Amino acid sequence: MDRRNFLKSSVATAAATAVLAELTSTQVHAQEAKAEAGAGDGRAEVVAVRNGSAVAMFRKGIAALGGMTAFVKPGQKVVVKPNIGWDRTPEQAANTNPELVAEIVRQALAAGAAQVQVFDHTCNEWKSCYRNSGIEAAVVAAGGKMLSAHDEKLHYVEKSCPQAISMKTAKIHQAIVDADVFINVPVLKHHGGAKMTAAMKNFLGIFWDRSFMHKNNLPQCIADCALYRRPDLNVVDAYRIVVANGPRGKVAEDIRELRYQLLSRDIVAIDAMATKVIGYELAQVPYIALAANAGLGVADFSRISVTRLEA
Amino acid sequence: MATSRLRWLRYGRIALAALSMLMLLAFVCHGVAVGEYWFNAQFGPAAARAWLLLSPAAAGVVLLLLVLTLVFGRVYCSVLCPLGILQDVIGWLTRRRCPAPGNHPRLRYGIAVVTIVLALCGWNLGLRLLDPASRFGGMVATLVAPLHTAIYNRLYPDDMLIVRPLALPTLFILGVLPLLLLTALVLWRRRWFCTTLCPVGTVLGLLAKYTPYPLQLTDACVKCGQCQKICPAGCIDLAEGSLDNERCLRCLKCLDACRFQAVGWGRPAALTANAGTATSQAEVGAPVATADANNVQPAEATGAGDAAAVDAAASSRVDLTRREVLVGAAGLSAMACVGAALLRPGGVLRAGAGAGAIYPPGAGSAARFAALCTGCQLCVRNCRGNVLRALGDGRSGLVHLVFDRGMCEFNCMRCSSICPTGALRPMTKAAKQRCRIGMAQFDPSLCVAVQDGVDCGACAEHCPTGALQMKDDGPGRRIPSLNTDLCIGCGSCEYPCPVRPLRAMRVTPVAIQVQADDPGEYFRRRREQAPLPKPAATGDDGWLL
Ligand code: SF4
Ligand code: SF4
Ligand code: SF4
Repeated sequence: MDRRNFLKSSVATAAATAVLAELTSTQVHAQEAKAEAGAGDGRAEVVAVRNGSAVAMFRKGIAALGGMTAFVKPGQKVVVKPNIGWDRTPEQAANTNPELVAEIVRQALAAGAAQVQVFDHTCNEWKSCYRNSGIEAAVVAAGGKMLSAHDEKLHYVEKSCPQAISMKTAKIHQAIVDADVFINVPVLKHHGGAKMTAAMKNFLGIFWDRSFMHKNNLPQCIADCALYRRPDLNVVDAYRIVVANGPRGKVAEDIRELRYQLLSRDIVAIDAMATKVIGYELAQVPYIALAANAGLGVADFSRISVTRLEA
Repeated sequence: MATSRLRWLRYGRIALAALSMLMLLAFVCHGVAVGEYWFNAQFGPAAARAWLLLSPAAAGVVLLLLVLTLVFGRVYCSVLCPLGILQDVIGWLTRRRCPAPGNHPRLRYGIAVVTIVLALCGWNLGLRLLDPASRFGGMVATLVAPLHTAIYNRLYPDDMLIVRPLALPTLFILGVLPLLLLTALVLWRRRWFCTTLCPVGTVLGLLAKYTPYPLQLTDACVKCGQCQKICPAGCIDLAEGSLDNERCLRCLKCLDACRFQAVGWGRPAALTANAGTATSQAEVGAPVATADANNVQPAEATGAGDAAAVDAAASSRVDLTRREVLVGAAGLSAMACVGAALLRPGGVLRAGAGAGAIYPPGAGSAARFAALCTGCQLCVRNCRGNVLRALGDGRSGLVHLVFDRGMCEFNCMRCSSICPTGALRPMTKAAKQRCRIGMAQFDPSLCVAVQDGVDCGACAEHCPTGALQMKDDGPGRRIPSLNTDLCIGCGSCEYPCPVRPLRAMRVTPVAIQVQADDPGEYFRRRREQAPLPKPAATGDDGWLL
């Protein structure tokens, strides 16, 4: 980090901390306690924001969760995992909104993160995806670092997970293993195979072998994924969503502008809520129940408290 | 002091050659954009493109190179042609004393005429075998680029270049064998390839011969033989006191080597001014001499002391008689007819050309592509999807697609835009996205979604046109369904299909590339008929959740 960036980020950190301390200090502690307790008492909290730009909605939403400082401590290594799977433009909504990703990077750095890394194991050729999604440029401008995820030997390490039902061993991206904080930032979409893609399905992009998952009961593998590494924060981008022909989208008519965003620590609860946003029944997306049964989070709507905010 | 000036002239040409080599290597190995200009300046591919596509840009390049050659001689061969430069490098590295190449006009013209006639008939066989740029491309793609990729990826793991598979036969046919042959030729007779085999060199030579600014031995020459000893083209004849500008490659070694500065480069009048014998006829002498070479030759030869006559004699000695030209032309026409017969649809060459393989977008058909591709490997090196393979992996004798490492990227049209010969027709993006290079075939007996009844959908997920969709098939079951009207054969379904060894989705070749239906139109029509349901607001104030 050069001096200018250092100064900028320290000023920003100081300012953010001061504001937060004043406004939300009691709230933060209350919510942290609640979240921790939440895991135990089978409850979850989801923040839903609507009617703003992706950036404005994120600012509102993260403040309601206690601000970025509740997630990122100074000196930590942060990995942000958006969906960059396709060689599509931001308007085509197949990838996460680049401005949202950039804002998360900025806030993580302002909260004192030592580094913020961003990557995805893409479906289309990765350099085209990174470039044409607009995410590479936005992340670099925000001070983050784009990582490659396209060499099995260079970028992945083999891990095993005995609790998993279908995917008992997997090659997972080194950066995820090394990260102190993992922020999962998918875009909400229709998906031809898994019906819906949101927080859990986004995990396919931190593993090497998609093929294995498709072959060995995809919904079960999606549910197994999150056992390898729980995300600290999930942000579901539903500003523009692909409602048909997903996950790629073929024509402009496949896309709907909803201007929603969901935030939660609970990866299952956020996906359960996402089914409502896109208009599916919970049962149509089988991996959500599978993940809830594995104890990864809460899928029961009656046990999810939703904070609704207008941006 | 004059020596040092001439020496700098030679150093200048070496610097230009080095720059060209660097640019071409950077382009072929790393895709460095400026390098593409150097490749586009290659005569063989540009001429083929100009003819095939009637491309004004390519025709402009050809014209420019012709004018350049007319003014400066075959400088193309010493500063632009990568194979020429490579031969100089091999010669310099080995520093072997070997005889200079002889003069073989019949062989030279024969090869060039066959090449041109066949190319005009639509068969780039000559270029495929002998075009220096294409063969250089093949060598670099197989011998240098893989090393470059390996080293680069080790140094910059966050900006990896695509690792491309290389079949052993490919390595041998495109890399090792041509390099060994070329090295052997250089060790045997210096740049024999350039003065005898190369069709590009021969064409350029015919113009260089008439340059108003020839390289010449002036009367300061004491016939010490220094220049002859180092000339890689064997174009200096001391007995005659002549320097054959048709074969002179403008390496400028002789300018530097001659201690008496007796090799001059410029207008004959200026060069011979000291002797006082220069006349204005000298300049027109050469063209006149060739008008009827047979008659002029003896007369000119006797007057060899005169500088103008030397030039004329040098040119005339390599001319053909009228009868030879006629016989040659008849022979070549016959060959062209045979070639055309072999190439006609259903002919031996077309049939064998590549049944069973998928060719890059813009190839047109297997037959067209087989006749036109010169194998320069630019498309293979630049394929974004990592699907293009050179000949040698057993599927086809041509560049073809294999979907084991990727798919033909929907937004990419690199191969057709980069193809320097026009063997791949350039297309608009919209046309490329509908260009059907193959046809998907679904094998339900292998599909895990059909057989195991669990979600997979890897194929439909990747299909860029919407030809492939997951359709409901009973409660909780979604299986692939293929709309062949939209399929373009891009392999975006075959590549991710997880079934092995044989995949449930496989792309099969098509005989002729046609335009598939427009998916935009198709889906708009469907959306009009059956609009997508809107998610219903459930909560207060219209909240969806
Ligand atoms: S258009 Fe397809 S085959 Fe051609 S270079 Fe691009 S990905 Fe490769
Ligand atoms: S069905 Fe397969 S080959 Fe055909 S367009 Fe779709 S992905 Fe490409
Ligand atoms: S990718 Fe292969 S296995 Fe999966 S649904 Fe398609 S055809 Fe079936």
